Amino acid sequence: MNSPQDLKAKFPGNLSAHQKGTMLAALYQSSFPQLTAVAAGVLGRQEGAEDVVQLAASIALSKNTQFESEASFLAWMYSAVRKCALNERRKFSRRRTFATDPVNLHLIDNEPDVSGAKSVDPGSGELLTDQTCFEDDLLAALQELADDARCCLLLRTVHELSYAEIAEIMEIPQGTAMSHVYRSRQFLRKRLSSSI
Amino acid sequence: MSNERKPFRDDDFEAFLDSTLSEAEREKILAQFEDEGSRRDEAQLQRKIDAALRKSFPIVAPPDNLPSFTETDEPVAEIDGPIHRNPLFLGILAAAAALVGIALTFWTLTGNKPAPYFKPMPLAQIYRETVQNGFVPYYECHDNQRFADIFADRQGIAMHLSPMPEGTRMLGLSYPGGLSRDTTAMLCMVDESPVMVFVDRAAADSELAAQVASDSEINVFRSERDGLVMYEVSELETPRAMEFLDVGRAQ
Repeated sequence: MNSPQDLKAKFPGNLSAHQKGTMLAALYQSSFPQLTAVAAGVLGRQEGAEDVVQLAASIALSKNTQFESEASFLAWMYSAVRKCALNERRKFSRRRTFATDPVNLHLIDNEPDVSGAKSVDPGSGELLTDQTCFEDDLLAALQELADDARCCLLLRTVHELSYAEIAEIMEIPQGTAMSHVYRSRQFLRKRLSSSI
Repeated sequence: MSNERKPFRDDDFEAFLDSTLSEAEREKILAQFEDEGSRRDEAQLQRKIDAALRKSFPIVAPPDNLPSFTETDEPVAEIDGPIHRNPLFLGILAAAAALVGIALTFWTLTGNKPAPYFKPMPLAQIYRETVQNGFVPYYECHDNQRFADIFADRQGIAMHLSPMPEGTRMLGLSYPGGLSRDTTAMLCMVDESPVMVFVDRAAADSELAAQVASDSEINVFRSERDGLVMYEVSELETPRAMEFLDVGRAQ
């Protein structure tokens, strides 16, 4: 990530719309992994996260947005991603159909030899090619965490962001970001200690 | 004198898992794993969880077909309020960045690790957030020895919990800050109402601690003894839990 001071610098007044658009596109590209992590954190799953980010970007375009700095663009995008992901999750939780018959899911979960068994994403019911039962349990346990906690955990563990960066992305105090990560880890260890 | 090592502080252990300890501190924790097999297992489990998280939530590459962010002169669509365009907010962020710069310069010049940043905050706010987050303690401590050790380590004085009456139970301990980075909070349920007791050295006391909004239903009670300051925070009319927290170890 660029330094916050760099990002907060206002765009020069003589910048053309095209030049500014190019800068924002580049910023969008470099922030795409973190934006996707936030979407995945709110959704509780990786699938659909990229679509959510692209939806937020398309809203940014359709709303005729005007940003005075890179920081204001990023703040808008992260906020939009969180809201779009939340909407998507609500739609998903209302869905009652799954890609795989629940009966089959039950059979798969009860396979005696789990080492080679194909496992199921509890969020979508879809089979992933190399997912282990431990990962199934992890995904299920993640659903019990709050959205913000999941986002903080992913941004810290997977993207290795500092707590200052996480706090800025999530618009929460650093201490709260740290607390989310510590408590989430503790919760997951407690839940998964019987899975090993 | 015995060679027995002191047990881990929970926040040190979490900092170890978070890779935020210095090399010397890491070495110390690793050496202590010899005595505390359960902690070693916990650390291994955390590594496995982290690996599974990285596998399940891989870092994705940005798409090739980038959107064209060519702008018009229309105003920005509001998403969540104008906080990032608030001059005061930007000023605070700039000041915070400057402080971090000074701290890093100091660190670079002296070779010392800067003390972690800490800001006291109203305990009623911590109470509200804890309740909103499910009122779950950081550590479900029901071992008298460990309970006393935690206060001895964080506040410099061992404490114990006297038997509580029916309807009152201790859920565990949390380290949510408040007065200082070492503030220890005891979470209790009294007549099914959440109650937090914050304990810290009297020297760490802050006027911010007891601040409550005028229309809040939260009550903050304060007492001071043996160099410690205690605050009980709840929606109850009287303090119902702090009286059971006594200085010294359980007999």
